[in-house]
Amino acid sequence: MNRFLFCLSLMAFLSGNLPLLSQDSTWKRTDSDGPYFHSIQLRDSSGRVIDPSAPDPALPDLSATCAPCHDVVAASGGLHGGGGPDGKAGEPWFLMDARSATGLPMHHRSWPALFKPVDLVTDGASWSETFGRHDAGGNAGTTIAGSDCLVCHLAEGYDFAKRIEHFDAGDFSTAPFIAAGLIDGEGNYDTPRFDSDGRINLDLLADAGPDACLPCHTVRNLETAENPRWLHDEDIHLSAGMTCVDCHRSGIAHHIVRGYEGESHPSELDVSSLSCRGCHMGDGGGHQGAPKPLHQGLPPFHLEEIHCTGCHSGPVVTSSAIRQWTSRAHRLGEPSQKRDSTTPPRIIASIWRDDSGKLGPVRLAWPDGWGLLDESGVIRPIAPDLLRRPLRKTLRVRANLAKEISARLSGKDATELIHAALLEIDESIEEEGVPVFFSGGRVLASDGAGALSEVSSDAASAVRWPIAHPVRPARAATGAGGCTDCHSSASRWLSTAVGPMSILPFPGALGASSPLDENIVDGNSWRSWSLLFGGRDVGKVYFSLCAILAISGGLLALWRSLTEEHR
Amino acid sequence: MKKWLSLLTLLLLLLAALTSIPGLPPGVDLRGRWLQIHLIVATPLAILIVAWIWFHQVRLDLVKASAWLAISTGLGLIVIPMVGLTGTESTHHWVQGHGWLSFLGVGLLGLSAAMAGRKKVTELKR
Ligand code: HEM
Repeated sequence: MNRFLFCLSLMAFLSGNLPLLSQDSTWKRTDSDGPYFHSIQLRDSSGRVIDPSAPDPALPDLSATCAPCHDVVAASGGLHGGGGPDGKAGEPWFLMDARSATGLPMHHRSWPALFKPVDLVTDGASWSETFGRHDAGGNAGTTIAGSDCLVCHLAEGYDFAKRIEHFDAGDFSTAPFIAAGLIDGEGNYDTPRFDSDGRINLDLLADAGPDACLPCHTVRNLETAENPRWLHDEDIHLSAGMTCVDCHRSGIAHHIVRGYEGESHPSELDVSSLSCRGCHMGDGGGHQGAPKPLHQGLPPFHLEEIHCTGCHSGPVVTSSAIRQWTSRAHRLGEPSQKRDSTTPPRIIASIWRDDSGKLGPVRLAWPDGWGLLDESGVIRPIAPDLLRRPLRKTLRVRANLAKEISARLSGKDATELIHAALLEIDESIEEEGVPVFFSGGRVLASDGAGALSEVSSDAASAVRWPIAHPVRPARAATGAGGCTDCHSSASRWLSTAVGPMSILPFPGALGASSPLDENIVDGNSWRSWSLLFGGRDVGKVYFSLCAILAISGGLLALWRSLTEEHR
Repeated sequence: MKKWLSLLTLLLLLLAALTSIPGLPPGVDLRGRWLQIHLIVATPLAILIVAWIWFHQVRLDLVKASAWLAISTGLGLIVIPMVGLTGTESTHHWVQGHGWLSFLGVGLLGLSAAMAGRKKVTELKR
């Protein structure tokens, strides 16, 4: 073989094995399925090992501490760190400010009906101060906080409430160590936990179980007297002993599989078997012994038109417009007496037909706030900081605009006050545009004559994102009670009107509509089927009897005709 | 069996066939309005099929008997998913089976009518 051909084949061999080689050579791995016992030394931001018992030890740096063994650059990105493709809409962040009656859903991803962080949050530091508490950090999002490996991977001893406290105070780099109990708020090390080499034992796991995810990903229905929390089951997968990452998997790149149908994963690998349908019904699925459902008696088009979550998650048929709290929107994980059924944002569960044409449960929320309408009809929101002065001057609000004004109005509407505030905003904010107030799905501007006029814009329309969890098992799914779970007038989930609520009272009706009104589900068809389904059980008996009689009569007739012909 | 009942049965059979046309392409299920009309037609039709088979005085020839057996079996096939005995994936096959057998039955009835017609014409010619 000549030399050129030899080199070519060597290159081909090496490039074919490159991923394996690069994995092996750069990062330490045990390659065992068992956990690695982390007895580690903390490092400062320049990578020097810290001696906690030294007189004035440096503060630890998480990235530098993990970097000797892990590809922290890759791990800080990925879908979880805010990178990768935008994909299907997910949960937005809510910028909440009671003083200016602001509640804006936003995200740096290009999901519909969301405001952009660049319009509202001045820099990464203010982002981290506002949202860092529930943002695991990373290099691809809006935050300046580095990735907090501990919040997800430290199986024991991470105090999430402390994390919130210190992120709110702006201690982004030390908050993970304080939450993990390695240092206190003053930066003093918990020296008894370190050995003479300055090593500390940390229970770090690739999969630290659902408790690692739930602080940021809890969703709960608002409790009512008839519907207390203790009556609810947790997700069936968790009850069965699975963990979140059994489905929401990822490699070191932290491109955590989102698990929806048709997901295209940044790794370009086929992850379809990690969606509900892929795992339970697809040929490549069956992970963890996933049962394959028969859906006996369910006409097949239901599976083509409805997401699995349509029946196995989201609102139950007897409930209407359930209000929900989410970790990120309602600061769950923070001990508080103030969180109650009126705590904004108001997030409601309902049904929606998505771009793929399938029905599924979604969460809905409507924005509240102030903005500037430009000539092209676009509304840019005004950041709460800029609203302080004009709103204080006109409305004399101290802490909670909606509450204070509503108390002052004692039943009257707020037209005059909103109008005055809009004029003052026009005076005091130098940016171009007509000031508007949006709430309750409507956008209002001053008509120049002391009243408010409606502006046609979708800036106040609802933001929607799918509900996936908690997943209900077959016996608790919609339809377990038969077709009339959905196909009857007693079924409320399709007929309940869901609509926005205005944060301040102003004249004019607020639009509320049910999935039937909005033609998300064809109302006429649904009503006529509901009528027919009333007689379904009788129909089953009737058609079965007819079939038995007809077939036996048919067989007899055939036999007779055959014997006749023989004669 | 009364002649008008017999004619009504044939008319409903024809209507059932017509209303099922949207479900004929492979992989497409009969759905929505057409399915509702199909079921409304099928409700009296089912009992009329029973009546036709059991109370028809004249002995049926082989083609006619096969036609009614096909239609009856078609009815039997649709009852299986209707009462919830099949999983969603296999339901397609039962529904399709119902469609093809019913059409086969109607086709055989047509054939038998055509044969009877031709027989009458030749008898008249003689
Ligand atoms: C005798 C009473 C009948 C009953 C109770 C009945 C009932 C039904 C039902 C419930 C379906 C829809 C199933 C589904 O998609 O979930 C269906 C489909 C259908 N029926 Fe009938 N039917 C009857 C008679 C007939 C007759 C006489 C014909 C034709 C001559 C016929 C042809 C069809 C066809 C072609 C389909 C669609 C098959 C498909 O989607 O692949 N049916 N029928």
